[in-house]
Amino acid sequence: MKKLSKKKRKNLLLVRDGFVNTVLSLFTCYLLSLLFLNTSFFNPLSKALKDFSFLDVYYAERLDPQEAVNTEIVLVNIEHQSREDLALSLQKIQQAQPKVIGFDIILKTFGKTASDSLLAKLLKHENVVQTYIFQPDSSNTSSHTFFKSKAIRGFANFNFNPDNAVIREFNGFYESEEEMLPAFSSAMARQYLSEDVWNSRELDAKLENSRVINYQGGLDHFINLTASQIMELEDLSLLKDKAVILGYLGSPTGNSFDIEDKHFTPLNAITAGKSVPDMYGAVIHANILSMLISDRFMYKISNFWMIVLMFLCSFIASVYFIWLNKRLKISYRTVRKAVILVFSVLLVWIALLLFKSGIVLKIAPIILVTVFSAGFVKYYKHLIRYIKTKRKFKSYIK
Amino acid sequence: MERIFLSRLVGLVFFFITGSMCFGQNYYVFKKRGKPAINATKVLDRGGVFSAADTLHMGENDYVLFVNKIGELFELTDANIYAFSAITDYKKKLENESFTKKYFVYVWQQFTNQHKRKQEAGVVYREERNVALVSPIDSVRTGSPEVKFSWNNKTDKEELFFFLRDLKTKHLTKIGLTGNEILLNVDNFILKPGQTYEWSVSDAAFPNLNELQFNQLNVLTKEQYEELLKEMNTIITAFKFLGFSEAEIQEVICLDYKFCSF
Repeated sequence: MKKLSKKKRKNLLLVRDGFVNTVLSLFTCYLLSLLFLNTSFFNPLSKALKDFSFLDVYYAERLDPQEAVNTEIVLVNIEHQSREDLALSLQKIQQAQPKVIGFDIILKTFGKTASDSLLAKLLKHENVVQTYIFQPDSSNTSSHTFFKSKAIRGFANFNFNPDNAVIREFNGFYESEEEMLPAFSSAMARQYLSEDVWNSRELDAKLENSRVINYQGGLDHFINLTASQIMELEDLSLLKDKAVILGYLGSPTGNSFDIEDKHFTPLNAITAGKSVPDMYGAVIHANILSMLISDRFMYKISNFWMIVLMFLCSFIASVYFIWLNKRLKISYRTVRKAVILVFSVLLVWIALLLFKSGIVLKIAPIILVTVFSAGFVKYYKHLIRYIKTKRKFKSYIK
Repeated sequence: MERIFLSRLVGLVFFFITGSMCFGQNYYVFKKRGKPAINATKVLDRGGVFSAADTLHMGENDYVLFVNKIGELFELTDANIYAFSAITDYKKKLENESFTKKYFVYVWQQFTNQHKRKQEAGVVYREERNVALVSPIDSVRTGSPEVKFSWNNKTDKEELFFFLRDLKTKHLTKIGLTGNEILLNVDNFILKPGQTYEWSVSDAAFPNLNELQFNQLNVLTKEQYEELLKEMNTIITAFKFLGFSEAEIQEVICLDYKFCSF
């Protein structure tokens, strides 16, 4: 009975040591991160880390299940067509009776020509959504007043986080002083879905904050045609009741060396380091629109739960490595490294499994902090030994 | 009586729904290569419709990827004539490898340093942007009643000009056309037996004929053809004895002995 209580006491000491090690390591980690982020010398490194996510592996390595082609959205590549050709293409698309047409093009000047007049008339149709670049601190960049007056419009910005070069999240609305401004894809989705469907799915509430984009695929995931191909088609039933996005998709379509309106996304085959942009803006809008109309949102785990998980993993790691440190004398470092490696691989696997189910758990900080706590055990051990030289102190560590 | 009526009504409704589902299903061209055609006449373009009343004609090197209304893909690669109902047999299977397997294979590749590497080289590729003459090759003799001229257009222009020069009379025939081939009959008008011609294709209506590459073509008379055939008979018999097919023998004789049938 007495022996059992001694064991229990030992276990309690182990838990206490684990807890103290966790708190100390998290505090040190926090201080170091402040130093790291605020020192200009580390700027390139911290910027690279900001743009890195383990979850990108999900798309980059094609771990996502292959899905059927999206037939609800049709992309039309305007290449370098003249305004006249653009107007004629838009006119022909309109004849096919699509539910909504997204015009992802800014026409800065007005030429007082017949083609510009036709284009302006077509752009004011009730199912056409125009776009502009929203700049909170200065005037917006948009089409000439002649084109945009009385038109339905949505901002083309994906999100308002200027630090991240990789487009992972999007803002559905921007709350200005006067009104709620919709994003281009939100405005298109609102036109595509009926008001009842929009309200029953509570999309206004879902789009209050920025959302992680549920990417379905690149250009090949959507039906895409050039404007000149549209002009040659006799039967345009393909476009009937669909959402059509007119934008730039390279010249020729999908040209990997063409980077006009091309951005970095998690689908980029290179997850870290230098690479070229991988997805055209119109395709990103199509992915967002697809997510909105199919109601397949991603759910991000809040910062509170992230901190709880971070603490929990650090605590378990601290307790385990303090215990292991006492048991193994020679092989401790090797075993520690092996365990950390297996732990990281398994944690990334769990995070990717959750991502597959629509739950976004940012795993990098959890892994970093847990590994830091595991390494901190060595310093904690020295600290306890130092305290023991000064005063009597009960600890699991000898 | 009412029950019979009800069952008939249910059957009729079922027939109507399934029927309308079958006939309402169209295929759209998602991707294509070559010149796949509907009903042998209309070339299919991207976004084009393939409906129940049509047949698809696929030639050599043609490729079509159809998509239906629910996003399923149907891949056709072989030269053949396809009925609408046959397309379902060519459904492209989606990759369904286990997520966990893919992840651990990736991790293993990272540990064993098997990730893809690319050699970086500071260079660009440029091919000649001209019209490459394909067939008939240069200095060919033929006894065929018709000759198909074909070429590969590597320029951006769609409209090309076909030139045929009679070496005896020096008469130059020019034909403006789109596409990559033209079939001419030995009709004693444009092509005459016993005459030698030069042919070429250019994207310019008035090219410098001295700089233009011409292929020579000798149209044989019946007598010349039979005499040449007699000379080739020994080789043809030898090839047959070695087990080569008719098509292979014709190809070899055309390439090596410049005696072709088109």
